Amino acid sequence: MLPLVKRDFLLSRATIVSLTIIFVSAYLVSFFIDTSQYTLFIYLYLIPIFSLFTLDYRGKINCYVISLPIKRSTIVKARYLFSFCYTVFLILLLWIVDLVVGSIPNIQMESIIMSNRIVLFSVLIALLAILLLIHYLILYLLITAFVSFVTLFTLMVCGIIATAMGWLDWFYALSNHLYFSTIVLILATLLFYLSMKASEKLFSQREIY
Amino acid sequence: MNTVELNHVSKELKGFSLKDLSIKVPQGYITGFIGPNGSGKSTTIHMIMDILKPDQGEIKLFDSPNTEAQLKQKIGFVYDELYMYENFTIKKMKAFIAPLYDGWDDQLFNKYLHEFDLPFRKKLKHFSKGMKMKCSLLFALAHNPEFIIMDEPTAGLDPIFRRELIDLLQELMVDEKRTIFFSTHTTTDLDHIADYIVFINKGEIVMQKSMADIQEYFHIIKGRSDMLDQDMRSLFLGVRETAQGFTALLEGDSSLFDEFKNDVIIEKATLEDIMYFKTKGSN
Amino acid sequence: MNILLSTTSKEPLFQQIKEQIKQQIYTGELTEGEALPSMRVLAKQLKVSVITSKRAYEDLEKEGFLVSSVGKGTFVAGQQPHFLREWQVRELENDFEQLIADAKRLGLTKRDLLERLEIFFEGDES
Repeated sequence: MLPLVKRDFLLSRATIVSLTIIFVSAYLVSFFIDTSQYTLFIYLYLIPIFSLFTLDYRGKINCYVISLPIKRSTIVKARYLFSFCYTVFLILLLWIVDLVVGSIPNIQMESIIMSNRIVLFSVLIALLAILLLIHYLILYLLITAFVSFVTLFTLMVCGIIATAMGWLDWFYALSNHLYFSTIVLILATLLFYLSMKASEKLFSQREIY
Repeated sequence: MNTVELNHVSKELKGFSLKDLSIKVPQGYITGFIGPNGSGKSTTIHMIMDILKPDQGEIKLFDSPNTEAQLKQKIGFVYDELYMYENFTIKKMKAFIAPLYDGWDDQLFNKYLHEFDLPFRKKLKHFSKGMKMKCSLLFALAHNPEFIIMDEPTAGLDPIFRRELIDLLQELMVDEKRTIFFSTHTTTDLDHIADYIVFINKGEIVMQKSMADIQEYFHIIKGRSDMLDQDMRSLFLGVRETAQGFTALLEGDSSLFDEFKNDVIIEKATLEDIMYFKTKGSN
Repeated sequence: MNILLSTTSKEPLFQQIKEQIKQQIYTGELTEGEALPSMRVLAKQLKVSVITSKRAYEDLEKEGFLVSSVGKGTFVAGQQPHFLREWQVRELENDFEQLIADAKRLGLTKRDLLERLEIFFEGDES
């Protein structure tokens, strides 16, 4: 499995580096404008993962990979593991940015606490769980991209409306508490795990074109 | 023992189907898989490699179901195209692929890399078709596979490397455990080196024979058109008539024609002759 | 061991290999106990399929020209004297055919030819 994860890193190294720069700047901007900038952040965050799938489709890579001595379930696991590691990496990176920016005097910043970070991480993981499952369910690039986009868009719009209407106030309030964010994290991780198992099952029965 | 066995495999695809395929690829030999374009060669190979799944029937590799991933340790594969990231170099490909095989042999890899004259650090997207094929071959051979499966490996190769490839395959066959199965629509690749032939047309197996039998029992008969009566015609698998005479494919004893010795020409049939007449029948 | 194959000949390849190995045994180019390349190596060298060289070797073994033992290889068998003689007689008969053809060309009859043959035969004995 490790060679597969390494492959993913090899493939997206350039993308990760360039996009990291964009994220960090977008994230910084979001402090000064509005938290709904998270939307932009999440979109950007998903690009490297989607570009991996795009590359897979373009090169019919799975034909090759399935012919190597790797279990189909391992191929799926590796992709999930990569996505997970990538998310952890990003969250850690943003944390470091916060620390650096926070240490500069005279800059006013919204205070972000640990449990906010955990909630953000959980939301990203949950999103991934949904989008990766959609990918393995469909396995056609254009349809996958379309369905993913619609799902993402719907979720965002719902989130924004719910926030505007104040329906999510309880969530925002609770997300400042560590015990709540821990529960959210556990649920999100569980969702991610279940999504992985389902994808493994789907992929092991699929034909590759 | 058979390295590959397909038992009554059927598969329905868009506008095309494979019907009741039973194929045996014996261990220790080269089996050629021939048929016109679009006859189902690639689909069959993809099914053997578990990329596509059969609707019915079973496929066995080394006597085990072909879905077991570990079986692929012993297989080297070459597809009609190199299904790899175009931004990868051979160096990156190696970093990804080498650790997956228990039997990976760096020395062998370097030997072939050198023999095939391939650049180690050039992106695959700058490779020609022939170079991509060589690259596939490089990775197919570097782990010393027992079974080599190839889909049209000679397509896109220049005649020189084509010949070198055939020589290479023969060299590999000195190892008696080695089995090679490869598809081609250029039958001259196989005339000299194939031990067995599987011939597929329109999704069905038309013929499955050893090359020795083919060379012994298939003949081309050429003669004057006026000799060709209904009786004689019924002996042939296919007849092609022109103003200058007829050419026909005969399966069986050519001594039947010994009495016409002075009026007909009897030649050994090539695979191409057999494929042509069996596909076209009589006109 | 030299073997030359014609791919255009009507005679099957394995047959050609067989005949040429036999020939070399008759002429003494291959002697009893001499090791032959394995069938896989021979196939590689001659650029024929394994099944072709296998068939040639198997046939020659069946006919008693070769012996093979597992793990050791294939060797030229000790030849039966009558085989050798049979072959030499056949060679002589080929020469006869040539002789008769030449005689016919010169207009000699069967009787003329026999007479001359007798003279030579007796002259040789005396």
